[in-house]
Amino acid sequence: MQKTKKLTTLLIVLVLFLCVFGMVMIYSASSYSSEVLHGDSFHFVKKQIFGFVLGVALFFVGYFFDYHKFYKLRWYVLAISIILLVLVFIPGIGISANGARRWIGFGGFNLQSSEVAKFGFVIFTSCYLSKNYLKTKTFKGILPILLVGGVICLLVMLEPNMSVTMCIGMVMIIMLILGGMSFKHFIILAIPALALVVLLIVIEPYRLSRLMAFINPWANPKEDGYQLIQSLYSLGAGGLFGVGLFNSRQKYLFLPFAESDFIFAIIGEELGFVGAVLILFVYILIIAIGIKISLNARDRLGTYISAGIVSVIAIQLLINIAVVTGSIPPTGIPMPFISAGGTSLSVFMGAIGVLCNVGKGKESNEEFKMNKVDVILFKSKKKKTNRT
Amino acid sequence: MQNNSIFSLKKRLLAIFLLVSFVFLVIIFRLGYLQFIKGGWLQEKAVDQWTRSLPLSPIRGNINDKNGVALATNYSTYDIYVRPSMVEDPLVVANALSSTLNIDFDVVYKKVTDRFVSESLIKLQVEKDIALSFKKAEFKGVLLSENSSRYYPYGNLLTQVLGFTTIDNIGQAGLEAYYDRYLTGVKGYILEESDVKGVKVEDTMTNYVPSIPGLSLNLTIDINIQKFLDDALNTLIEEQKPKKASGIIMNPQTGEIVAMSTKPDFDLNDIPRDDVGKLLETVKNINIVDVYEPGSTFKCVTMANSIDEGVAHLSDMFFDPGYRMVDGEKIKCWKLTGHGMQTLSEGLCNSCNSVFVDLALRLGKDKMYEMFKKFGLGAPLGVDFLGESGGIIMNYDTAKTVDVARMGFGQAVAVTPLQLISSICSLVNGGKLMKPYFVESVVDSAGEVVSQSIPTEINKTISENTSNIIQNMMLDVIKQYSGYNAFIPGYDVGGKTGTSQKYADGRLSGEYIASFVGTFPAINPDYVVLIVVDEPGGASYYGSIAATPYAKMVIEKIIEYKKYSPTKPEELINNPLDEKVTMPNVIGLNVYDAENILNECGLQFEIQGSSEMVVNQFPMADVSISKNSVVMIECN
Repeated sequence: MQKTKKLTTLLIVLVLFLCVFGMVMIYSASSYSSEVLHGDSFHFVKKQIFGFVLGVALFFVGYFFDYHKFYKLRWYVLAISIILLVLVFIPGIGISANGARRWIGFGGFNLQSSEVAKFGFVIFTSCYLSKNYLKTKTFKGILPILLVGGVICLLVMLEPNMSVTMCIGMVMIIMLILGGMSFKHFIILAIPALALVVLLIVIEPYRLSRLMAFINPWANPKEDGYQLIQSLYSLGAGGLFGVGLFNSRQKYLFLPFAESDFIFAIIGEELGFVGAVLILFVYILIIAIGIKISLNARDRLGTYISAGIVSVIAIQLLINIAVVTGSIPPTGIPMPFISAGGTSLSVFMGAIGVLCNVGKGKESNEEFKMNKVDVILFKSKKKKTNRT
Repeated sequence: MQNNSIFSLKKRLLAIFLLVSFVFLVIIFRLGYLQFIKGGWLQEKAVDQWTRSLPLSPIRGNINDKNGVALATNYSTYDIYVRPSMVEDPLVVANALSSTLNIDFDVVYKKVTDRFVSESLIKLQVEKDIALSFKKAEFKGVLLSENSSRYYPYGNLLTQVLGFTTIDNIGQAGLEAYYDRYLTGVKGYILEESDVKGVKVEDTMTNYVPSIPGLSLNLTIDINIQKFLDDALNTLIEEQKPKKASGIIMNPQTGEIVAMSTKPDFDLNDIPRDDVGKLLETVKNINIVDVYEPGSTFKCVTMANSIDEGVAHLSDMFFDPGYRMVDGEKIKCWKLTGHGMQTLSEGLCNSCNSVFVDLALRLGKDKMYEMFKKFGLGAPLGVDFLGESGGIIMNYDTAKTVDVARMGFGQAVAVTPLQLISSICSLVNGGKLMKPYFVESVVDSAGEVVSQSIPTEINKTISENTSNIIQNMMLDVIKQYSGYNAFIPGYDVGGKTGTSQKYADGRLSGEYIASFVGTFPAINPDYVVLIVVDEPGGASYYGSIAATPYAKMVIEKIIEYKKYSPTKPEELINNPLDEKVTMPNVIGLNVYDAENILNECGLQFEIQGSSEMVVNQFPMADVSISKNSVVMIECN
């Protein structure tokens, strides 16, 4: 009990550190471009502070809202997620930028629907699994998750937003694996998915060449390879200890999206390999604490919710740094807690609140109706282990 | 059911955590690879894109005349830019820019308020006064960038000689092009750190390497004498209405080109770049790049060479019946009635073709071709100018005797005006063929002389003695004969007129080229003047009328400018030109009768056409003219 409390405190400290560090890095990465394009070097920092304040509020909501109540609300959570995703396509509410409709706007505030839907999906799936984990051996048992996940992925793909689709898809796989999906089903699902990817490439071969630009970005340095080359220049210029905080040269409009999707490149440039690895270490700690909370959770719902949240953080982070380092084809996804983006930050902070709520784990275990079979199994297993 | 237990869930969770950690590890290795192993290479490329070098244009060297008067120089213009992020009041700034620079307000306003560009260009090459008014007004965000543009203080003077530069100050024609390497100077640069659009990053080091100004040229041209030549040619153009007219004045002792002009011309400060036809028509320096048949002016060369080679002597007598038969072909003299018996010297004064046919044949083909070579005809002289022509000499093997005979009086041979004047110079300077040149010295911006031209003798053409004889013969031509229209009382002027027919597509075109070459003073001349008139459209196409008077105008001005004292002061008091006669009416008369009447009046004449009946005359009857003047009768 005492130990978990210490863990949640450490988790909160680490997340706060990342948020503040993020704002400093956003200032460093965007002050010049903001000055040039918006006439205000704090343009993105101000937005981020707003997102942070909102995030703190969402954190407290998540922290004090008993996660067991999600079970009753699971359909509402799912409905809100899907409604938000659909609203994006409604003219007047949906906002498009750079050829994609990803935001809805109300009262001067823009919200990226898929950021909410990601966690909505985690909550819904967790609730479903906590009740139906015994059925996951059958295809019928995992069908609802596949259906819900498929609908959400489809809606996000229509925006289009390839990277968030990928992220949700991978979260779905992790949730299914945790839910006890059989290896057979995994293979059965993986084969048509791979076939679909191959088909998409065969239909339009330019996708492949574009996708493969990351292998040799210098083949087309002005177009497809440009962003990655700039990212690599940043990292290369950083070296072991970096050029020093605020001293990035790549931020002078050379590296696009330096304050959001490519902020890790600026971190690598200013703080070097040492700084970048230290930051990654903070993330690994957060993930480890999240896993620990999941392992210590009193019930399956807690385990699934916390594991889902940790998965979102881990997958998004890995995709982000893999893109920045040119390890996978470029796709735009923010770095959790650090990249500029109000919705992303506040929703992630809310998720951390839920994670802490699971971590607190007191009082509520009796109230939550735990599946009887599960309790029996749980107890018998305990006995068994005790015996041996 | 074992797999579905909570322990299996824990295993699966841990397995996923391990997988995630493994991916982390891989990416950290990748990061290390990029930051250490590839780091240096990436950094090098990155530095390359962070810095930009701004070239600093050097100031182009001036072109000055012999007296240091600037003929080509520079003046400052400004390019005006606007940096929208710095503009405080876009409305006021846009208004000021649009009204002063005469640009549409909306266009300017759009540029001033465009936040997506760091800088945009408003106008190029704005005059200094206008540009500095913006500087004074201290508008924030309005930037001036100084440029230097070429300026020619004398506009139309020396159009084809000086040439001009491109808008980027690269020599394009004339001396500007030939000496571009010297005039340009060495570019400097500013190396500075910039953003992706090239805007300098604040608080970064700037590496400044100043440019080195171009070298200046001091020409052999004397702007005053150049003006005399231009004035005379302008008058010529007005009175004779030729297609083109050109002139050269050279110092025969050194080969310095003192003046050179080609008309029509254009203002070097207003180059007709939009009118390509006009530009191509007028940009060519025909004195150097075009060839023509020199006609009778070339007789001086044949004469001098014949004397020098010993094939002709002053005591030789020649008979001219009005033509010579060579290889069965009849070569006519301009005076169909013939010059009768005459001395060698009279042959030149009368410009009798028959005499020069004889001289050419006495020299023979070999010696004639040797002569061309000696006088630098048939190959460029090496003047410091682009595109010099070498003239056209008939192939030795294809030249027949009758061709050689014609070459004797300047036909069947084509030379540049510059070659002709250089040949004449060598006749009157003691026999030295001097290399003509424009540039006296090259000086750097501190005034130090970098290079000094030395007069160069290309060939020895004739002996000093022959040169003296020729100088006196050319003096006689002016004093008593066809060159009388260049006679200046009190002073000795030498010279020879020339008239030649133009060929087009290998056939006579019916058009003429009139020319005159004058030397002053006649003995040991300081100046040789050549005027070539292409297709004169006045009363006569003869050199004596269409070219000679204008050379005289130039020489008179030179006498005044250089304060020559008269060699025959008595002529100033008792001016031979004051002795007037009345022009008789000879129209309708037989040409022999007309000749007799004109001889009695003491007038010299040129005959246009080849019939026996005089149909026209110049001047008209009853006009009072100086005795000995050259008049024209037309027999068609």
